[in-house]
Amino acid sequence: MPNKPIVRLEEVRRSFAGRIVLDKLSLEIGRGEVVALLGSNGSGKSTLLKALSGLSALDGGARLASIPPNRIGFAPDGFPRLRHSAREYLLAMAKIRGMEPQAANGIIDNLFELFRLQSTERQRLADLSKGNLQKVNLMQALLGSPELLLLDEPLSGLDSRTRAELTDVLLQLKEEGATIVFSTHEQMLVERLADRVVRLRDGTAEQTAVRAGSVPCKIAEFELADEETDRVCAVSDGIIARYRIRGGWGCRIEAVRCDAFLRAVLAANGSIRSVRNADGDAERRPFVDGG
Amino acid sequence: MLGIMAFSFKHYTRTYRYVGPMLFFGIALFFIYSVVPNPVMPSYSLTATLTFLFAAWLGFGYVDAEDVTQQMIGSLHAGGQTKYYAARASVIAFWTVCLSVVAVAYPILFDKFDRQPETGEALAALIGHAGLGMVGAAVSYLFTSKLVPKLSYAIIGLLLTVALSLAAGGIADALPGSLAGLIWLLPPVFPLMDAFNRHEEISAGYQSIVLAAPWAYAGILFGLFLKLMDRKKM
Repeated sequence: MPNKPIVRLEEVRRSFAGRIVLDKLSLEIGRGEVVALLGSNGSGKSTLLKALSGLSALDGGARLASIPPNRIGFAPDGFPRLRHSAREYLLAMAKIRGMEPQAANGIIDNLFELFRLQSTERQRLADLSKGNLQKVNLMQALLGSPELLLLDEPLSGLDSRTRAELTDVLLQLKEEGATIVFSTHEQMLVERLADRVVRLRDGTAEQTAVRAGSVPCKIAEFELADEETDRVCAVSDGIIARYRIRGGWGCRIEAVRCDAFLRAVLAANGSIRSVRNADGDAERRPFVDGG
Repeated sequence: MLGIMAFSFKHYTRTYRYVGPMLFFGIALFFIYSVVPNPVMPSYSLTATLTFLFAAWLGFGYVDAEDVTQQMIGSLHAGGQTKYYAARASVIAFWTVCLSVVAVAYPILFDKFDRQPETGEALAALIGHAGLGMVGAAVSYLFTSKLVPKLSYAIIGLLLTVALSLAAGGIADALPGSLAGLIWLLPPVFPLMDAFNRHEEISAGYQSIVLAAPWAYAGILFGLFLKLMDRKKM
């Protein structure tokens, strides 16, 4: 558990139309920590992020934060395509934060440079590509140097180049000590960024594990059809990363989950090539999209 | 606060949702005063009612003009949801005051009355128009998609409220005497219309009450809206 929680949820409950999305979920986010939220669609990742931000009404439990709302940067999923240019929008958000125009312009200039988006700053958000729109989403979340950054599927639907660019930015933020909580389906992002992984299932944080490198992991190499691999990985717990190898697939998986995963591969008519203990970063390979 | 208002105003104008209510308000005003001369306070009674109707239309289009995701982002940047919605509500209040100024000034500037209204009459008319505009906007706020998710229910609810407000006089007549006071639970449109129509018959005290009532009513509704939104959140 983190030493100095920046925000803490205590047995929070949230339901929508009778369906329980968060069920007595408790979670602490420590200062400087990077936490990945994993779970299938509808498992409550976005709701949990909203609960952390304080924007979601809770049916029960409590949210305790040591920072005010405007110290939180939130990049939600589905950023709107407004009729404002990127710069105009960011200036408006900076003004809402109470920033002086001159200071705001300087910060926005730096953000455009960081995200390499200078050429499109005068374009309307409605006309931006999905990748560039997501960059603006992240830029607005970074205005005012937030103490806590909440990112809802930051790489969702982006091409590989944009994903790599945004991942680099997030890594840079991490190196600068940012506290980040992000939801994702991208194993690559979890592997590269997260200090801790929180898996949501049936409204509860089923597993909270320290990231790969600290948790004993195994490397499993196997042969299985692509579609079957997607299916097996989607229903298997503990997968930290998945990547292609010649004629097959490799997986970094938590050691305690490895046997169950291998059984699932065999049940899907796959074959196991090798299984060995992971030896930290030296074992990492280029990753492909997670399922 | 000003930052939120500026953004919200700019965002709303770029949606062009104001065009319908503003255009029809202008057309209605033009037709009302197309025949001259007109009696001062009864004309203001009619245009104050119109201001209520068009402010409700304007407010209904405004409250959901901004994407929910943007409202979340804006609320966090502003430092709180209540602050954000209060600032946004101020924008529509500004629009309704603009409508009121036009409705009161147009017949004076273009000599549409049978006599020039006295300063007190013009002032009372402005307060009454703006008050009813606030009530219209405040009523429409309670039918936002966040509080009434189904659009058809929201529209029917809003129209019903507007109709009941306008028909309050008839409802009061139909109610037993002891229950007639219940019409004050409805948006106070009819009492103001009635007071403007019987301007010379009523006391200054009663006129003050009917002029203040819409502002108080709108204030309570806006407060209720902010409270409900805070409980509802995103």
